Amino acid sequence: MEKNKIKTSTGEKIFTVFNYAFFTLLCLVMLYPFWHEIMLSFSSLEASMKGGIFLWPKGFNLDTYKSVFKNPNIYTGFRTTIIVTIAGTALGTLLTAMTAYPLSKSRLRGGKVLMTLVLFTMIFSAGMIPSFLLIQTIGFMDNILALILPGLVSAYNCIIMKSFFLSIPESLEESARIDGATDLRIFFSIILPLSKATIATIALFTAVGYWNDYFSTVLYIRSVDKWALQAVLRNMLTNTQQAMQQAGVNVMAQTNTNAQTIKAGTIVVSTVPILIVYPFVQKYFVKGVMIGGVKG
Amino acid sequence: MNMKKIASVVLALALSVSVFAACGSNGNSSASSTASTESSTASTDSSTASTDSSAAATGDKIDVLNQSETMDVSVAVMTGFTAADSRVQKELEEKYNVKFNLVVLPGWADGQSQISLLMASNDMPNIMWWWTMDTEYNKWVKAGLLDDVSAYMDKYTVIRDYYNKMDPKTLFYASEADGSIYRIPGDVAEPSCENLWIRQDWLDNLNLKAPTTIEELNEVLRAFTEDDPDGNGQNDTYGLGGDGYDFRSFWPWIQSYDQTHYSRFCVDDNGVVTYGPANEGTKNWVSDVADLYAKGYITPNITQDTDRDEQMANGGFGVTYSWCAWNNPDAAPMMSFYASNPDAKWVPIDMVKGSNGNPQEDPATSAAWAYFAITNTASDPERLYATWDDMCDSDNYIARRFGIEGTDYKYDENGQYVAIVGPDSEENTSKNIGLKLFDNLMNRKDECNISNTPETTALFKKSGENSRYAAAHLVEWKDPASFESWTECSADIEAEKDQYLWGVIAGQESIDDWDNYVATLNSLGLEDVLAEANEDYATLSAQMEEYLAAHGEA
Amino acid sequence: MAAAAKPAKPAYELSGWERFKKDVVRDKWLYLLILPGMLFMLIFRYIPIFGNVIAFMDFNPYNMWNSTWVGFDQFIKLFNKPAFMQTFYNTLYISILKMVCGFPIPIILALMMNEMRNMKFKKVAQTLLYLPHFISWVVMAGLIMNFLDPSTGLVTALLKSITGKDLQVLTDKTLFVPMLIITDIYKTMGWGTIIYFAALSGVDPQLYEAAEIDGARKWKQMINITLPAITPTIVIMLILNCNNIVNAGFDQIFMLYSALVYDVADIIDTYVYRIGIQKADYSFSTAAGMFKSIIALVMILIVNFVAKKTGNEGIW
Repeated sequence: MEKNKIKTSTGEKIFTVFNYAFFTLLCLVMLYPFWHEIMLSFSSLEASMKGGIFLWPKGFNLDTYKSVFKNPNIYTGFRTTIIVTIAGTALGTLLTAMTAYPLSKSRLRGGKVLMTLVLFTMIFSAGMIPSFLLIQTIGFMDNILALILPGLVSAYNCIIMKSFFLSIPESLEESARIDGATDLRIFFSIILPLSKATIATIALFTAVGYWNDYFSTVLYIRSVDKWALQAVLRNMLTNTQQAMQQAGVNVMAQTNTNAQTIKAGTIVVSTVPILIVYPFVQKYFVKGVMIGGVKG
Repeated sequence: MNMKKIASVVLALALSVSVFAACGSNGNSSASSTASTESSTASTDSSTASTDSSAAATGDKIDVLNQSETMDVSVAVMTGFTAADSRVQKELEEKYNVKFNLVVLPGWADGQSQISLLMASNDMPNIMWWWTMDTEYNKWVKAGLLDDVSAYMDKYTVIRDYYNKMDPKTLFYASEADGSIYRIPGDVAEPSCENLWIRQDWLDNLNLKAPTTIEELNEVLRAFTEDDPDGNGQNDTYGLGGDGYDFRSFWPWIQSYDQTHYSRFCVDDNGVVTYGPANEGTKNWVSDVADLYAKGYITPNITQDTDRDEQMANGGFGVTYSWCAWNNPDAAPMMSFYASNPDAKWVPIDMVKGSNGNPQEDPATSAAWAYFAITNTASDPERLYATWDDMCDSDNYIARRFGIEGTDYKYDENGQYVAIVGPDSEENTSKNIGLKLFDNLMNRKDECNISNTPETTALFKKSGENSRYAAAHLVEWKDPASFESWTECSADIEAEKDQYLWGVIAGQESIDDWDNYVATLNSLGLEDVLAEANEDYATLSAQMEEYLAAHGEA
Repeated sequence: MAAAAKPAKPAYELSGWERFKKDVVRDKWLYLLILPGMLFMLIFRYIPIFGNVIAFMDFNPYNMWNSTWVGFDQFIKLFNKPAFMQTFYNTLYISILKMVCGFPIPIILALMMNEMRNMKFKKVAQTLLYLPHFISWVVMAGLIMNFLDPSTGLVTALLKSITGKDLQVLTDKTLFVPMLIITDIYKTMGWGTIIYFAALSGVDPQLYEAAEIDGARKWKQMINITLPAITPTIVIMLILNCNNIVNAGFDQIFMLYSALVYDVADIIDTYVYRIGIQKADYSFSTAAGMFKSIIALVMILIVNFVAKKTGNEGIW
């Protein structure tokens, strides 16, 4: 795939130029909204309401961040989300690998049935209300376990993991087995270290799911200090006139509608952690996708 | 064969575990409810609860200020101050020897979902707060989740006396047919709390007089839009602004016609009940407003879920239908407006005369828009009610809402309230003072509302008086949930109504399709609804008369 | 059907059951490994599935003991509701549109990206392209509302300069669904691109070299080598997408819609949420949710069957 010395036709040259131009444009389109939010968050309130902020802030100031960081819910939101993401990702990834490994062994008795059971959960979901009733029944309401546990293992991740395990040559395990290692030993000391990239990929999938989960908080959490970050965000980002109008709320100042700058600042604050972690994990992640693919 | 065996074993296992879990759940819930009955005098059964409370009524009053045992109280809160462990909270906890646990609802958009979820769980807060949700409320009462407080109300009278002083109908709407009261009105609006507001400085710039008729008002909107009222040489102003997606923003045009409303049922002088949004009057005002919108005299995003205050601070429009309380110097939206527009001036003006020649303000309901209730999880409902009643006493209310005189506010030489720390100020939040704690869990609109200036009080009074004709021609249901045909199809009818009316205003639907729209409403069940509505209304009027006669002396 | 026994063992002397026991004992550690995961599936996936029985009840969330069995009443009520049938239609309409418009884009992007020789550029482009995949819909909705704000939104201004009209995309029935499609593509295309790109990088470079020696042009190479190489991935993605045919995107729509666009934007999931969670009508909304799951199940079974019949690999 290196330098191909074959002469390229004019059509191909035009295509190449177009190709680069197109992707440059596309990248700008991807980046710009975030850039705009950052600029908005550094602008003054008046300028933001007048509109017309494109590339640089108008009326540069840090007031936005002063008020964003005054909101105690931002801190507790970060705390909950970080705990949930780390615990959920660590546990979820381990569980996924533990589930997928035996499924990749064709000699396992009942393996096919188990596999079907796993697959079935992917194509037939239980629905919102029964899931809610379950959490209520087992007494996890208002407990951050309710944010962690239901999302631990997904059938989709199991399949990716399993197909990766299938690609590991059996011979590696055989030699260990001859040395008397149990399946457990083999899994933890041979298979897991070999699967770093795939594990990183699954971990990333899981982590993104946890980080972005908004709805579980609505369903399961009451105490405001246990709200996940996304719920705090949603509360700050949405306008609520509609709900109030339907309610016929007859009092002034019932809203806490936030100014555009505050909204922008909140978006930036909540997105920055992802942007910081992102470059570090993304190389694993591309590798992981390449190895695992989505094949089942 | 083996596979099949295993499969069946696994399936059987799954089934039995799920059944087991289901049993476990029921077992748990009954166990926990037994526990709560044992540990307290409260009962999960509503009928027993009411006997309990009537028994309590004959007993001695509880002295809530001298309680040796600390009572845990969880309270659902959403409006007002919602952070935990504020100064005000600690003061109340010490005073009544209670420990509050604030269960914060997630705001207007998802609040009702959370309320539903809380009530469906086995550990709802001891004090629940909600707004609208009548159907759900009925289910809660039937399931025995709420305590009857009518006997407590007779024993501890601050809340009862306040409501009866303001409007005796309020408690009628809160009570059940048998006289029991499961919901305590949390917030009842002033008879009318809104007013027409206009930018006086813009009028002056354009040499215009304040409009007195709807035609003059339309002309003012035109001038504010096209004649550059702020003199900046740019075409950046609008005539009318308002909260987005709120029909109340168009009240001056609505009140211009009789027998119309954007959501409520109307009643004419003969006692015939009709659905306001399907009446001819609605067709008229909607096309008026659509016309103004099409001409660009109204802020374009009024059809969306947007906030007025933000656009106002930007100096974007010059007429709006808004709160009387804007007249107070400490009104938060006005403060931020004047901060960025120091030369501007908003003034309240009289409602303009419409085509029916009878200017009216938007009447509020006699019933509360938000309620709260003591749930069956409360360990000592009588003490809880007594405590709450005491907290609603004038002085205690002022301390809860406005804080301590000299520290949080003072009176100027005219005896007028001046905020040192305003209830809506940032300092209240950042220093965790807690003014406005339990706002809307009993809100007083009388002289306790010390932040109202005499002018504001006068404005409320005038608006209230100018809304009585309109109020008399709108139906207020006591229990919309018992209105069966309406519960059945209200969601569909209201969705259709919102879509069509807003669609016409936004220019996406045509007013010529009005007949189709009415036909659609009928096909969704409006005809049955109206038949039942007329029957129910007659019964309701009779009940109300009976109630008012019986409670007249109280 | 049964897993093949290891030939190395003198298995033929044992009866089926004994062999089975022996295999189970041999693989005890594997069963131990899989146990937590299967327990998890049982508790958090299967029990809720059985919980769907409340669709056949008139379930009283405030007092479970007062619930009664009503058979198929909830379903009958469901199908008689015009509002529900509308949400069903909207669900299919939106998700099919999303699929038709969104499915080819990542393939095209991956093919184009594959032609780029500058590794650095390629990497940067990839990174930026799938950035939105990591942003929650809460934040995305915030961005969208900001850009589509009728007075200060940049996209609103852009649309005005193109069409000359003040377009309010978020409340316009004709524009709302296209907005959903475009923002969905925006959020997901980079991610899809990565998957196809990964599949492309697995293609044997020697194939291209051989083709070049034969004098095949780039275009020919793409048709004859590249596309066939990623066809299995395309089929798998297609099947997985079909499973999503009843998921028109709850988060996205929930964060962006309003009553003005219920007609076109209300989907089964938002309907279930409004009726079920807000109005506490658990049985009715569970029936709606169950109907949805069954459609999804049937859908994927058909597609998988077709894929296998046409000689591709299904997902199982």
